[in-house]
Amino acid sequence: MDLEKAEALIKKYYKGETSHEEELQLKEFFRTAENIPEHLSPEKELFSMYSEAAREELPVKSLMENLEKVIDSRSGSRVTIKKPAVYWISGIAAGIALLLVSYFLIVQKPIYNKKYALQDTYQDPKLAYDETQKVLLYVSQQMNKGTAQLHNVSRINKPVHRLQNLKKIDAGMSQLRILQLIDNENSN
Amino acid sequence: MNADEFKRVVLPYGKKLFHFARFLLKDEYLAQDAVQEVYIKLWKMRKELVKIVNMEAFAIKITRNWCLDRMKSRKPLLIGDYPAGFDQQKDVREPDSILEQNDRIRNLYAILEKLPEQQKILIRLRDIDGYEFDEIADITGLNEVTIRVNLSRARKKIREEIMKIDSYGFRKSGSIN
Repeated sequence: MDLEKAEALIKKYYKGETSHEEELQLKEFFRTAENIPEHLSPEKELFSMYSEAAREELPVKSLMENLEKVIDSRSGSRVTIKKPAVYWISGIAAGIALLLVSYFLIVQKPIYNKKYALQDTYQDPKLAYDETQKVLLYVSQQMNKGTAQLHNVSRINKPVHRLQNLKKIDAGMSQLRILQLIDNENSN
Repeated sequence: MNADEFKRVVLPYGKKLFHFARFLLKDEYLAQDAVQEVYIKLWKMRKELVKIVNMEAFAIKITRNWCLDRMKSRKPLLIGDYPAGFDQQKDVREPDSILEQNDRIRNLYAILEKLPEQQKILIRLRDIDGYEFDEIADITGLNEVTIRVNLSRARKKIREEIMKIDSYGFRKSGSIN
């Protein structure tokens, strides 16, 4: 393939219009041709990248062996696999246990309730009220003690607040963007 | 399709599926999982496989879908699908598999990372693996015009990136952008 034809094909290639054969021709051209002009060096690089990536070999031996094992284990007729008797025996046992428990909980429950129904444990309502208040007070004190410790957590906020200054770096960085223009100039 | 047929017709694509899955997932372990899941899926639908005209494109398509799903959700693996003791095997990687990619392939993959997922897949399928347009249409579900347009865009972008590497002799991405 001469240079002229190759250039025409390259144009077609970038439009996405080359056929498979034409792309193979291009690959072959860049692999074999000598003295490829400077302006085609990106294409030379590109096609050799593709050729090399296509030749890339990953080790698949153990993977393929595993795949065969997976297929074998699945193709062995699974209907005939016997589950141990433990499975159905324990199933029945669980069913019986469930029946017994529900019998005691639901059928026997009224009797149970009659025997141990909640009863008042005090004679003097005033005394009971005082006792209850005492307990509640105790609980609230303990709770206040606990939450007081948590006060320290708010200290974390202070240093975090100072980190806000980091934002200023960001502002500086965005001004550096102008440097990119120089960069672009260089590459053109 | 019985096990022997399945092994003869479908299994040989394992290597290609693995390459493709690793390309998408960028992880050998994950790619192995992908291929295994894909084969379990294919095995489950083995009765319908006789109707498939292009088995290779079909297998690649399923792999692509699996990988894209996986990348979206990063869900945990279904190890329940493996035979007992399967997960207790030692390192399934072979010792020489610490990838010896040369600079050129690494550069290529770095460039491809800058493309949208769709275009990346198209370049892989067309320019590296050399699939025909109708096969790529099968695999990706895109029509031929869309494929050509996106390929064209991707190819131009890749040329740009190569120029950047060439003119400096090193990757430009390290500079302030």
